[in-house]
Amino acid sequence: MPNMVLKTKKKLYYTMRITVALIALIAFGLPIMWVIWSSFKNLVDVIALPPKVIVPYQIDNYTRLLFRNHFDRYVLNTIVVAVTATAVALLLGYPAAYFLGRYRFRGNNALNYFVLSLFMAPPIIVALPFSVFFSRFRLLDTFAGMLTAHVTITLPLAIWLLQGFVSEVDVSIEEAAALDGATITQRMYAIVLPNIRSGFAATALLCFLFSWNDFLYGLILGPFRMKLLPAATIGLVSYAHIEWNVICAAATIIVTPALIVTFGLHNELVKGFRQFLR
Amino acid sequence: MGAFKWKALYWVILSVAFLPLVCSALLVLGTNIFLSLHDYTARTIATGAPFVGIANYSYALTDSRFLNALKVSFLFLVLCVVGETIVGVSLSYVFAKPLPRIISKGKVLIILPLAISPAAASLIWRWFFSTQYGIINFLLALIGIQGPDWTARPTSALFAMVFVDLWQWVSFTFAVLLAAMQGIPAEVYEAASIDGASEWTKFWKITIPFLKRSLFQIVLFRFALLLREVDKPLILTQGGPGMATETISYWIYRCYFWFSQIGRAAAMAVILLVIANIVCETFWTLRGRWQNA
Repeated sequence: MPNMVLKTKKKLYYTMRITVALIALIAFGLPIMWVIWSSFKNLVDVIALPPKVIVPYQIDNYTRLLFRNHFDRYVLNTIVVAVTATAVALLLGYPAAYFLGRYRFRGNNALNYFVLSLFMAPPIIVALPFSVFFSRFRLLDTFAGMLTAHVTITLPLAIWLLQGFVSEVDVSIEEAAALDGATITQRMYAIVLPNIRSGFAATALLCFLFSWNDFLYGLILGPFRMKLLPAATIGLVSYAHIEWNVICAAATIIVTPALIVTFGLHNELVKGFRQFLR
Repeated sequence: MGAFKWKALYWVILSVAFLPLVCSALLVLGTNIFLSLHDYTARTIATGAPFVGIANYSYALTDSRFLNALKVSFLFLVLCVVGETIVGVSLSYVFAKPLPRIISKGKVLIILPLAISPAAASLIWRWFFSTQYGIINFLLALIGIQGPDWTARPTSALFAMVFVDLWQWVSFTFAVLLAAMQGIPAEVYEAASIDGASEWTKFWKITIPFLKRSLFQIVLFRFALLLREVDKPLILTQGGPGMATETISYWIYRCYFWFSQIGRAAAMAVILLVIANIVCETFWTLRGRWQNA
């Protein structure tokens, strides 16, 4: 008899878990799917409630956004800045992270804390002096200025994450290589780097995402020519008459890398985010 | 080993990465402090401004709007962190146990919001929360509830902001905690079951103690990242109604870029930096303690 009760109880728990899980999947996944779906409708159908399924679908929203609202330019800006900021962060950050992760020396802890505090500092604190400084030296609205600002996000991030991945690699592999006469550069790039391949990928991914998703620097340091995607959306909502279909198209463009990453490189993404708390 | 040669080399390599960082940090700190000690406004920025000492600081600390922003930030922060923790723990608990394969695989959907731009998220939810065209009030109407004009009332506007934040960052709590939960050895649960422990007891006596460290880290990490909240007030609520959702970062932004009160904004930025540093320091200290333990 108690066995029966236990069994029903177990079954009840199981059903409850499935229900909660399903609700969670819908709540977290559906809004984005909804927006992507809506981005192919016209304004009248987009705001129709209850939503209509059989409507004339179109790509008009995208062509308008790209060619009339200059989003073609902003997409290009954002890609170039994000890719460059990621590349710079990895190039400069990896050797530094290697040494920080491998060797205990005086100042190691201080440098580590410095990196963490840079990463955690609210961007408004950085944006304000940068804006004053940039406008004086004509760096406002330039690629160089925007890249500098974005590297202040990606470089500390890269050092912080990579260092954790490096220190997880077993030292004995390296010592064996050192006995075989491997130089420090060989150890760094030919031995440790292949061992942290997925960690390196995770770092690159997060650097790219943080730069791509950045809002404040784009808003403040790139008012016209150097405008970036997330900040450019502000221009779409400032009118009294908001065209939600165009906004959906803009949102879809902005979340595209996120979609690719979550569905294609989901393990790396989670790995990177977990490494935050190393 | 040629320790001496390496020592020279690693200082060179480290300085390649750290020199730009140190320079920009000094620039940021120096400029902020310099501006905050002078009466800089849009008019005086080109000509140079008189030195005013700590006047900007004392202004900020007695300004009701700044104090309000501190209060709003704190409230927002606490609500978000508490919400994220509770929802994150429950969700990861559900997903750590056996589920049908298809649902278990579907957990990527929960991670999805984490990767998208906060600006885009705010934009999306601004649509969903809007009175006329919003899906939320439509759904509420279906079950017979008259939804409020979300961004027009202080409480509901703050709620909307917290909601959007939860939607994005529960994913983070979920991802970290799920991995931590899966690391708890199954034997511990089995032993407890044999002793007749209920599901509830097992959760409080086994799961939570195992997660304690992760939970602390998540909370502090989120504390630091929530101080930067600008996009939600800016896109979702414009800080309103009144100043009900004006967070500290957003108020600094407005002070500088809308009202051109550069000196005062810089003073507030320095105060914010001190707060952020306290959080960061706590995170660091606890981290060190755990690593030695």
